[in-house]
Amino acid sequence: MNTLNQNPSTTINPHFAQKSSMNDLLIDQIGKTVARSLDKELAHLSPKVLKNLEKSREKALSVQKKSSQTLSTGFFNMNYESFNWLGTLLLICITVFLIADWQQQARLSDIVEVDAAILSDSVPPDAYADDGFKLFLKNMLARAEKANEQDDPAAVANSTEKNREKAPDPSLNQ
Amino acid sequence: MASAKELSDFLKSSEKRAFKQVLYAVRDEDAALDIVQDAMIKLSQSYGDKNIEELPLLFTRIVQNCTKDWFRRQKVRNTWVTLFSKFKKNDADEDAHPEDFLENPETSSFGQESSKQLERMELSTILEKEIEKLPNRQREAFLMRYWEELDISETASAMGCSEGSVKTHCSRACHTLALALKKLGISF
Repeated sequence: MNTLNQNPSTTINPHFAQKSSMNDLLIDQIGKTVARSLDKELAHLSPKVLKNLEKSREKALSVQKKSSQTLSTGFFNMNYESFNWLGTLLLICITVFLIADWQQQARLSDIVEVDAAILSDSVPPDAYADDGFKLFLKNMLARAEKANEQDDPAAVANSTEKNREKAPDPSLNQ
Repeated sequence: MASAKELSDFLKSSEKRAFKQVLYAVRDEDAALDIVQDAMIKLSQSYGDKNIEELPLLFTRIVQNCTKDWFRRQKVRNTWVTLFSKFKKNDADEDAHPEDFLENPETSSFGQESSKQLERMELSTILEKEIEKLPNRQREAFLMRYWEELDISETASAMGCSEGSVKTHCSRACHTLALALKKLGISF
């Protein structure tokens, strides 16, 4: 029996190969004899065990999974699981599309608001494209800040008036 | 797809063997019944739509996994029980009288049952005990290979090991069982 563990694939000697196959046969014979004995023992199971097994079987049969083919559509020939997967994918696509559309609308409404503000302003839109006008606004803001610091409202008014006189006409630059 | 009748027939034919197989491993009848029930429900719930030819291997695998789960749960439970038992004073043992452990002669089955027990201690019973003593992997391989009649590749796939390992486990199990049979006067 010590030779049972030897691996037949490594044998070269035909005598050893024959011995090994005999061992395999012997093992099979022992295995089958034992299996037959165990089968006989199954008849001695207690009624309680048999009853419990029957109950378990009935319980299992009551929850049997039905074939997924009955849920498949004829055209796409796909089962319920793949349908779920596709449904999820479709939902994600729709959500992404809706978010993109909402963002586009928000951007457009922002542009509309800015345009409306520019068009309704007293300063002509061309003035915003003029560098001189930008410089004028910058200087005016700086002076106004300075005047605020000094707490002198008259100085602020004078400086803005002077700036207006000095400011070039934006329409002339065009 | 396996019909309800086919599934029922399959379960009927394999439930006893599965129960015995689990019983050899867990050595607790109630636990074995629970495990087999779980395995049956899982098979029916998850693979009830499979072909009848696929069911034996699936069922074997599910039974094995359920048994492993049971052992894992037991391990966790035992850890907690051991931990808490250290803090608990065992009053029951202190109060117990030695006479409490003696069997009542009126209800004892020793005299009446001894002859019956001797009758039942036949070859299969002795073999069952020997199988119980086998290491887990050897027992699994042996029972799947020879009792459930799975081939080597199927057994290897169910056990999650190589075919060579299956052969080694079976060979060692047979060696042990052959020695037990030899003691009974049966030689090969």
